[in-house]
Parts: sequence; structure tokens; C-alpha cells
Amino acid sequence: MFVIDTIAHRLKRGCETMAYPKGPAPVLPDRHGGALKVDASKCTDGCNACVPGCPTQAITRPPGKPVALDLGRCIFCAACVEACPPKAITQTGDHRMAVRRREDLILGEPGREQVRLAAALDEKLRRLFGRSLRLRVVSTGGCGGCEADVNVLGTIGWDLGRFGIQYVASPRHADGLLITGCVSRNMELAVKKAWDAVPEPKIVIAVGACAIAGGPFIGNPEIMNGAASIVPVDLYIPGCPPHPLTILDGLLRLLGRLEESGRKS
Amino acid sequence: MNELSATLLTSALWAYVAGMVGALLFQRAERLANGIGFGLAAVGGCCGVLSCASALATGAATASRSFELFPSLIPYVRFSIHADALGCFFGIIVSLLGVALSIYSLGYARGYYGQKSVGVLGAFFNLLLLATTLVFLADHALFFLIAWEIMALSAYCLVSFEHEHEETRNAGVLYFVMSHIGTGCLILGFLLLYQASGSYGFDSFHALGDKMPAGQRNVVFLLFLFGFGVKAGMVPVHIWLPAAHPVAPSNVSALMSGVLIKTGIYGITRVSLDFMGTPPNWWGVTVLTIGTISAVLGVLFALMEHDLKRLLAYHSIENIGIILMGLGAALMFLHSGHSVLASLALIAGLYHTINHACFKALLFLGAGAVLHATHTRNMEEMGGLAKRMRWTALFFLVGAVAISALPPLNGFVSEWLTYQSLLQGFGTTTSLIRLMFPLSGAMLALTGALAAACFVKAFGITFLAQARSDHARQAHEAPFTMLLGQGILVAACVFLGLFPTVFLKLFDPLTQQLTGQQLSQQLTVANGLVLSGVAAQGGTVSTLGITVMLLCLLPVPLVLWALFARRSRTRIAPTWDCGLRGLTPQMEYTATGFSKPLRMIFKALFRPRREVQREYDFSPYFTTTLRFESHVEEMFQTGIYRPLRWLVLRASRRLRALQAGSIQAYLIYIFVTLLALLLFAL
Amino acid sequence: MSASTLFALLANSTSLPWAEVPAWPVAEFVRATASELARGARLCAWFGVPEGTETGLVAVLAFDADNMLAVARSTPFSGSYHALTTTHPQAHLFEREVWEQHGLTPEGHPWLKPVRRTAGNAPANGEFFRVEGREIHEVAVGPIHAGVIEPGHFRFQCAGEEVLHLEIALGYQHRGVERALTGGPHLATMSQMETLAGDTTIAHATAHATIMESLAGTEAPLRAQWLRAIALELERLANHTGDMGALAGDVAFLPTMSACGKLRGDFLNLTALICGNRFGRGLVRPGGCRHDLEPERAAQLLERLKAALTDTKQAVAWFWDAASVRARFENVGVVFPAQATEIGMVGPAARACGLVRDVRYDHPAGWHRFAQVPIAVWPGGDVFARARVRSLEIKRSGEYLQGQIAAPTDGELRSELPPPAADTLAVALVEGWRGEVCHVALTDAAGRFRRYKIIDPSFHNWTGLALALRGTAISDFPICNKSFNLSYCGFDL
Repeated sequence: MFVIDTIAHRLKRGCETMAYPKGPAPVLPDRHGGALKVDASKCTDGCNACVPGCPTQAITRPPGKPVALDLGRCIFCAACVEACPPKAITQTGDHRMAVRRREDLILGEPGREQVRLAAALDEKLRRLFGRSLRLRVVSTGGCGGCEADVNVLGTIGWDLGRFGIQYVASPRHADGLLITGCVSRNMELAVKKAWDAVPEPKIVIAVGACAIAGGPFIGNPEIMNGAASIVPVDLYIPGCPPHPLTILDGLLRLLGRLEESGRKS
Repeated sequence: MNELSATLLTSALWAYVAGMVGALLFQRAERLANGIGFGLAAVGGCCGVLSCASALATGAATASRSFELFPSLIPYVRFSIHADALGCFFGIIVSLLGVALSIYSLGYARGYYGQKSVGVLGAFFNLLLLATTLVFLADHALFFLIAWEIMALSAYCLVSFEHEHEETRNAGVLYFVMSHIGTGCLILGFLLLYQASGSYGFDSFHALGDKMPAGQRNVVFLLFLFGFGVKAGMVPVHIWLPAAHPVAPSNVSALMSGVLIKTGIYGITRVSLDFMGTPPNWWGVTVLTIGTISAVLGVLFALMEHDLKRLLAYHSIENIGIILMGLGAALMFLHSGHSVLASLALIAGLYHTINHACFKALLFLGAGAVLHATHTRNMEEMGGLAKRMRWTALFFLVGAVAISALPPLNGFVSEWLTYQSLLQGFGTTTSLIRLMFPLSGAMLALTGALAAACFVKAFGITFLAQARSDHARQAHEAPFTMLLGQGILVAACVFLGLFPTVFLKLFDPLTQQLTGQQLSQQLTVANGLVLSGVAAQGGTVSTLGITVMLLCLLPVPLVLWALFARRSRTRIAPTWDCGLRGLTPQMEYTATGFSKPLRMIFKALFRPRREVQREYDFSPYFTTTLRFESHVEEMFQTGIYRPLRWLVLRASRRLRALQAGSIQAYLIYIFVTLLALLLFAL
Repeated sequence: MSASTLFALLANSTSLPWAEVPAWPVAEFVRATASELARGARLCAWFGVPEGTETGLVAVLAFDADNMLAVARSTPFSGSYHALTTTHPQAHLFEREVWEQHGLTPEGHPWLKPVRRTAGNAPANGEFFRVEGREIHEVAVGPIHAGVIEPGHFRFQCAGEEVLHLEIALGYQHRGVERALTGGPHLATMSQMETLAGDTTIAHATAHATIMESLAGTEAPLRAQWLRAIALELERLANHTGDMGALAGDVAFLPTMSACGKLRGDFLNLTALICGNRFGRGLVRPGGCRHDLEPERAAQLLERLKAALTDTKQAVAWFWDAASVRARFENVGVVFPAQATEIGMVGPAARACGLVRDVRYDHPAGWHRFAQVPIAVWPGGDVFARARVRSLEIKRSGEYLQGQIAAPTDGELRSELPPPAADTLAVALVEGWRGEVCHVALTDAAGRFRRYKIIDPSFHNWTGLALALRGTAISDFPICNKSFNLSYCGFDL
């Protein structure tokens, strides 16, 4: 009889929610790689081995300048890591990648080898949203992967609800938009209307390479290459798709709910 | 009744006569006919209200007045009226409605200028008011019947006012036939009473008391119940109501629903409580049962309607059912000797009578204003009217709240009193009959809920959201007189709801006359602010208190807003529509859609039929056209009346054989009949 | 079936020189296709290949009973032709797509509307079918839906609670993938193949890799094929488990919903164990696989897989035990077997109508030539049947995986591919978790893509959802939608 069965099962299994952030973060899969680190000082002169291999042209090396890797365009295929002879581009295995400003995702300059992690929202917004953040997830033309990983944060393992973060059905009930997907032209009006419908003050979180810069489809005329083309973005979370841990870290960082302060490079 | 009241009463009657004559005289000058006809009707109504109300207010101690209107030259008939408590009470109803409706009609009749004769409308309106008032006041059986007939005929003329439509003509004929079937029963009933008492006066009927043999009493009761029931619109003889009320001009519909069907209630009350003494138990049980069935069926059929006026007509049937429930309970209590409870039930029933008159007339007037503006009765073509017809929408909303028995308006008070009498009735006997009381109470609760659902539908589909048709888009507010007429009734509803304890004093002479008790003291607690339900565990309610509390709480959100939120901006933005370009009227809920779940629940009753026509070229996956229609079966028509009609027609075809056409056959018929009568007399 | 000379036969995951594809004038071509479909073939692909100002049509048919595919084309033409849909409804979306992409008008097509409605700025702005009658109201849902789900527009015509007609307008996620593929493969092509439909990464990536390999005249090493099959079944497990949880959530059966929500993540983590990405991105590449499943890793995978399967079995058992769940699912959203056959449904949705069709069984390629997964079929066509098929597939995929992981094959993981042949047509069918994924590629004289056609299984099945809703209460729409769980982005491309 399933009633007794489920209760017994629940008692036996106990709490299935992970301890993070009060405990250590779950380990990323070993082949995941995590955030990238670009140590331009290791680059040999005239070497452009990483540039042609990048599917989304995220790496540029203008002559005379150090190599620049745009983590917002990166889809984390690790082709550049394999291609780099002096190992200037390495994988850190770090799940933390969320930033507040778009330019913080461009790695390579000395002092900018890794991402400058997101600072929390300002005082006023933290008071409003710190313990209760309602997000309207708008899927604007991606592949469904980011939506799936955003959705999994609501399951009992991750349990987003314990931070007061919840996905709502109507933008009128929301404090902000969480945009996934590269904003296709057909979705332009809908995204604008959703943004207009959210009451002030509002924030926008762009999750995934598509939402930041268009992802694998960057440059196609049918898309608008990311959420920033229509709405102002407060938080960028790179990945294709970002691991749920990365997304959660980004959200908590935005709300100032993590004990350690953002790493300054 | 003192001199002043009597004078006012006679002047009211003369005002109606003058209005009728004047309207007919000045037919050609439309505006003059309109003003004279309805203006004098309003004057008459005012006089009538003042007279009857003051008569009741001066208390039960004053003897009621009886006088002859004018000497009659016809043998057996005396044109005498007797303004006793019951008659005065109903006189208030008819006069109050007369005032409000006449004022309304001043504006409404303008819609007929140039098309139909407003003078005729005004004349028959006055005639109807006059005849109805006389029905309530008549003291003599034959005079009563004459006034009754005049009332029925003038109502027929008014119903058929727009006789160019076939639907109107059919409805008028149906009303005419049903009304006369009822009148036939009344004539028989009065003849039996005459035979038992020896005279036609109502006082002699009253003196009969228990002296009539039981069998004859029961027959008389049944005849009167049937005859007055036809007029009241009780189930199963109600079929004329949803046909006749929608097709009449709206002021006439309001008058019919508000007053005409109350004549049936008056009649039943008069016969069962005033004549013939203490009633046997089964009278009360029958009336209670019929009332319960009418209430439930009325509201169920109302839910399926999307013609606004037919919906209101079915609600009249429902409310008549509620009134009959109160009356039936009163009869049962009288039989078992609980005169206090009997008075309570009687008060509940009669309070609901006046309440229903007020809010139903208000709703019909509102429907009339809507019809006037959008030229359609079909709710599916309305919508968005609240923005264009603000006052009408507000008044209709008040009427809807009142009819749904929501506090603090008047519908709540009378239904509360009805619940009190039914629930307290459980303890009066120990026989199984007492189960009827909570059962009726439960059915009353069901009808209350369904009525509220129905009016959510009626108000919502008609007034809210976007307009569904061009007519609705171009609707305009009603003229001032129409709004004033509605406003009078709104004021009446509010007064009756907030100050029931004041109004209850008017019932004292009434209950004194019929049940021998005066209850207003017992029902009033705390200096008249709180209404109580007689028994200790009956409970109390104070609609005035509720209103005062609501009004006191009203500033609270405003204060909070001023304190905390004044600095926040307000934005007006469209409803969230999932990111579409915009919402269209097709995306609004329809009346049929709203009532669909209930239609499915009560499937056995409605036997709904739906017709889906699908057209396609190659395969049903790619439909080119799809048409949908649904119908609800009218069970009384198909179950009772059509077979009845068929039987009658068949029988008359057989009887036609008698009309052979030959003189010899007719002479033989006369001869045989004469022989039979002579033998019988011997 | 007798071999038809009007069509050229080929097997799944093979290629054929373009010159050997028989070409017919379009009227005869349509007639030939119609007669093959009438004899029981299934339309896998129907698309246009531009030749200058004119366009030629190409049809790829599947003879499931004979385990063969057939392909033919029409001579290039412009203007209009007699529609195939008039006799075979399963072609309706294909012909509309050809009309939208190339401008060839199918005469007599009963529902000629754009497929992705890219003109006019939004799919919901088009004209929708209306039911006549005053009592009907429309319910317009989308593009932004209440939950976390991709955008699409549904226009219901309702009489009260009952849906009389449902029209689905998609195209909100149109990213222009097919158009960007001409002249490819480009650098971004592999990533775009992986992100066509994000939860079907392995199936689409496998299909694309197979196309590249057959264009190069070779196939991937056996070990890579073995690993691809494992990844495909893991993808199937993850998605079916997630769907069972979602279905449970829609009928408010929380024990299964919570359990399966977590278990889906566990299955995705198994895929991540192999390649680092939870959806399998970066695993499949033309020529083989990029990451290997060494013995220690395989042992770990097997252990975690067993634990997850036990938990899933228990969670699903509670689900089937509850009468309240079954009562919500039975006889809701029914698609009849005749309807499913006529509109050409594929995948678990078709198998839930009693149709026995599965690419792994009918057109085995890759590792499925050596090891089979028994097909899960259930009659009935209602939500219950679709859920039942999924839970059966979870069980069978689980057993298959446990068998295959324990029996790896040796060999290299990736081989260098010779350049693709010129003027060649290649077809690859893979049974993704939603159904048949079909990629068809045609190279030009330089060996670059002249035309690349992608058909996600949702392309066949969205019509099934529209039919399933006819006569159903609109409040049952969420469970019907979730029981199909079709891909919006896979359709929109």
C-alpha cells in the first residue's frame, strides 16, 4: 500500500537535500572542467592555436595584444584546452562562474585570469529580495538544457525553496526574469511584454551561453544574440548548460547568501 | 385606518383612473400621454404607499376599514374594499413598485416614440396598477374576481404590446390560457365557499372557520392552491412565466414579476390563513414541498439560460418557491399550535415577498436599460457594459447581491428568517414529518448557492470584460428617469436590508390578524439594532452592524496606503496574456461555458443535447468547418404539457362528433339537458 | 513488399551517390510516393533541394517490415504540384514546410499555413481555426507558459470545459539551424547539432556523426558505437524518469514526483560521469567518441546505475499502485491506432497506441545491430498507455545498460575520418527517447553540405497531441502535454 510504503521510505531515507551551502559543495563531475583560467603570460608569441578551433569564436588574439577568451560566448567544449601547447588555457574545476557585469567574463588580461565573481545586489535590493526572490523563467529560444537544469534546482536534492527563491507563473508576481535561450526574433515581443509586466524594482538573470551571447547559434539572423539585446541584465551565468551548482552559486551570490565574499582577482 | 389613510387610498385609486383616461385621451401627443399616464401613476403610487404604510404603522389596535367604493347596480356584486393588515401590506408592495416603475417608464417609454402608442401603454399600465390594488383590497368574492380578470386582461394586453413578433404573440396567448385555467379554479373555489357560507363577503368566509366538512375544505384548498399557484408561477404550472416576462416591455416585466405573481401569494395566504380556520397538516406539507421544488428547479433552469430576461424570470419562480416555503412552514406550525413560530415563518415569507418585489423589479429595470442600449437580450452578445453604463451596472450589482441573499441587503434578512423558522421547526413535532424542515433548509441553501453562481454569470458576462458585439461596444448610459426609478428600488433594498427591525413593526397587525401573535418585540434586540430569531438558540444577526463595521473598516486600507505606499508609483498596464499581441473578445468565457459544469452535474434533469457538425475535405484531421450548438430540454413542456395538449386535442376531436351540424341533433341535446336538470333539481 | 524500381533502396546509416537517386517528374514522383505509403511505408523525410531558381523534392521512406529505407527525388520545378496530403495525412507538415522554405505550393493541401511562422514576427499572430457558434470561447496559451518550459502557442476552441479543437503554433525557438548548415560542416556545426534539442543531445549528435561517417564511406570504431549506445540509453533513462515525475506532479502525486525529480538528476550525472556534461555534450564526434569509459569508471557507473534503477523502480511502483493516479490517466487524451498510423506518429507515443515501431528494431544501426533492446508497446493510446510505455522502457533500458556496461568491446575510441564524398546523399535514423531522429545530408561537388535536413521526432508527433485533445477536458491538457512531452526547439530548429 503506497501510503505506508512511502512514509516508511521517507523515514528510512531521511533528508535528501544537500547540505550546501552550509556544508561543502557537491563535487563537479571530474570531466566537467569547471571555469576556465586564461594565463596570457604563458602564451607564446604569434601562437594562435586556440583561436580557429573555437566553435563560437570566443577567443580572439588581436596582433600585439594578449589572448582574450570571452567566457560568455564559451560553450565549454574544451577544444581550446586541448589545442593549447603551453597550457595557457586550463580548466580549474571550479563551479563558481557567475558575474555581474558582462566585461567580467572576458579573461586574459593580466589580473583577469579568472572570472571576477558576482558581488551581491545593493543594500536596498538585498533587503527586498534577500529572503524572498520570485523569478519568472522565460525560455526564449535555446535548446531546453538550461531550462532543465533550472528546473532541477526545484527538486528535493537542491531545494531552491529553502532560500526563498521560487519560480512563479506570472511576471506580475515576479521580482525578476530568469532568461534562458538566445532570444529568437519570434520571442522578442513576448520577452519585452514579460519585462514590462514585472513590477519595479526588477532584476534579470541570464543563464547559459545562449542567453549571454547567443550560444552555438551566435550570428544567425533569426536570433537576437542574447538577453542583453532587449533587457538590462544583472547577473550572467555562463555554461552550456551551466551545472545546477553554478546556477545556484550565482543566485546565492547575487543575494549575498554565501559566507565567503566574492573573489577579487 | 384613519380618515387620512382612507382618503389617500381613494385618491390613489382615482389617480390611476385619471392616468388611464388621460393617457388614452392624449394618445396623439406622445410626450403628454407619457407624462400624464405615468406621472399620475407615480402620484397614485405615492398615495398608496403613504396610506397603507401609515395604516399598518398605527398598529394592530386600530380596526381596519371597510367601505363601499360606489353603489353597484348589478345584483350579487358589491364593490366594497376592506383595507385590513394583509391587504395593506400587499398594497405597499404594489404602490412602491408603482412609484418606481412609473418614474422609470417616463424614460423608458421614450424608446417607443414614433413606433407604438405610448398612450395605450400608459393606460394599460394604470389599469393594471388599479386592478392589482383592488385585488388586494377587495372584500367581496365577485368583486375580487372582476378585479382579477381586469388585472389578467390588462396584463395580457401589456405582454402583447410588441405583438409584431411571433414570439410575443405566442407568449401572450400562453399567458392568457394559463391565467384563465387558474381563474376557472378560483371561480369554482369561491362558489364552493359561497355554498358553505351563504354569502360572497370575505368576512363570511372568515367566519366559516372549521365549520366546513373536511372533504369540501380540502377540495376548496386545492382549487385555490392551483388557481393562485398558476398566477404565482409555482412548479409545474409555471411555464407561462419564462415565456411572458421576457417578451413584455421591461417596465411591464418588472411589474409582473414584482407584483402580479405576488397576487398569487396573497391569494394563498388569504385562503389558507384567513378563511377556513386551522389548517390540517398536509396543507402545509404540500405548500412546503411545492415551494422547495419550485425553488430548486427555478434556479437550475435559470442557470442554463443565456437570455437575460428569461434568466430573471426563472429566478422569480425560484423566489416564489422560497416564499411558499415560508408559508408552508407557517401552515404546519399553525396546525401544531406553535403560533409564535407560525408568525415567524409567515413574516419570513411575506418579508421575502416585498424583498423579491424590490430586487426583482430592480433587476428587470436594469435588464431593460441594457436591452435599451444594446438591442439584444442575449448575454453572449454583451460584455464590457460596466465601463459604458456605470450606474446601471452598479444598480444591477446591488440587485444581484440582494437576490443572492448576501448580507447586508434585504435578501439576506428574509432568507435568514426563513432558515430560522425552518430550523426551529425541527423541534416542533416528533413525527417523521419534521424531517421536511431540515431537508427544505438544505434545499434552500442549495438554491442560495446556485443563485449566487447564476448571478455571477449574469453580471459577469453582461457587464464585465470586453464587449462581444458592436451593439455592446456602442452602448450608452440610460436616461435620468430610468436611473431614478432604479435608484428608488435600490434605496428600498438598502432600507429593507439595514433596518429590518424598523420594518418588522409593520408586520404586527398582520400577524395579529392571521396568527394572533405580534412578534416584532421578540425579534428585536438591543434597541432595534439586532435582529433575533425568537428562540434562545436561534441566533441573532445585525445587518446594520455588519454595514457599520464594513464602513469603519473601509478607511483602514486607505490609511495604510497613505502611510506606507504613497511613494510607490502606480502603473496601468494590460493584463498578462502569456506574451501575446493582445487579448480578443473571443477569448472571454461564455455564459454557456460558465454553467457547463452544473449542466453536467444535473444531467438527468436537463438532458442536454449537443450538436457538433464537422466538415472536412479529405480527412477529419483537417477540419474545414466545425459548428457547435447545445440545447437543454424543457422537461415540463415535453413531459407534461405536450402530452396534455395532445390528450385535450384528441378528446376534442372525438367530441367534435357531437357537433354534427344538424338542427335536430342540437334540439335533442337541449331537450336531454333540460330533462336532466329538472330531474336533478327534484 | 516487392522491390520498387521507382525508389532506390538503402539501409539506415548508409549513403548513396546523388546520381543513383531516381528522379521523376513531380506528378509521377508524388504518385509513386503515395502508392508506397499506401502499401505500408512510412514517410521519414520530405524536403526540397534548391537547384538554381527551381527546387527538387526528395522523399525518404521507411519500409519497417523489410528494415530498409527508400529514397527518390523529383526533377526540379517551380510553382505548384498536387499535394500528397490529400491522400496521406502524414505528409501534411512536410509539405507545409516545403511551401514555407522553398515556395512550392501543394495544390489541394487542406491546411496550408506556415510551419514556423517566421513571417509576421510571431507565430500567434496568424489566423487560427475558429469553431462557429456563440457558445464557443477560445483559450490562448503561450508563448510564455506557466511553468519552466519552452515557448509555443496553443489555441483551444472550447465549449465550456471541453476542447473541440486545438491548433498548435510553434516557431518561437526558430534559430535558423538548417539554413546555417549549408556550406558546412562549419566549426559550430557539431555544437549546433548537440543543441538542436537539448535533452536529445546524444541522439542528434549520433545521427550527425553517423552522417559524416557514412559520407566518408566508413563507420565509427566498434568501441565508440558501444559507448554511443550506452549514452543513448542513459539519455532515455534520464528523460523518461523525469517525465514520470512530471506526470506524477501534474496529478499531485508527490512521492513519485519528488523521487523522480531527484533521480533524473542522478541519471544525468551518470552521463556526466562519462563526458563531464550532464546532457552528453562533447561526447559524440564524427569518427567516434571523445571520452572513454575505462573499467574503473565503468564499474562506478554500473554501481550508481543499479542504485538509481532500484530507486526508480520503487518510485514508479508507488505511482502505479495509486488508484487516484490511474483514474486520472485512463481514457484521457486518446489517440487511436488508426490515427497514429495515418499521421505517422513515432516513438513511445506511437508505441502507446499499439504500433510496433522503433528504429532500434526496424532499422538497426551502430551497436543495435549486435545487441537489441526489447520494444515496449502498450495498446490504448491514452495517457495511461504512454506512461506505461515509458516505465517499461525505463526497465528495459536499465537491463540493457547493465548487460552492456559489463561487456565492453575493445578497440580505439576515435578514428580519423577521410573527407566526405561529393554529390552524395546520406541518411541516418536514431531512436531518440522521443522517437525517430532523422538526418539527411546531401553534399555538393566540394563535399560540403548542399542541403542538410533534420527531422526531430516531435515533427511527427505534435499533430498527435492536437488530435488527442479533441473531446478532452481542457483541465487534462497538462497531463496530455506531459505524456507526449514533445520538443518545441526540436520542431522549431
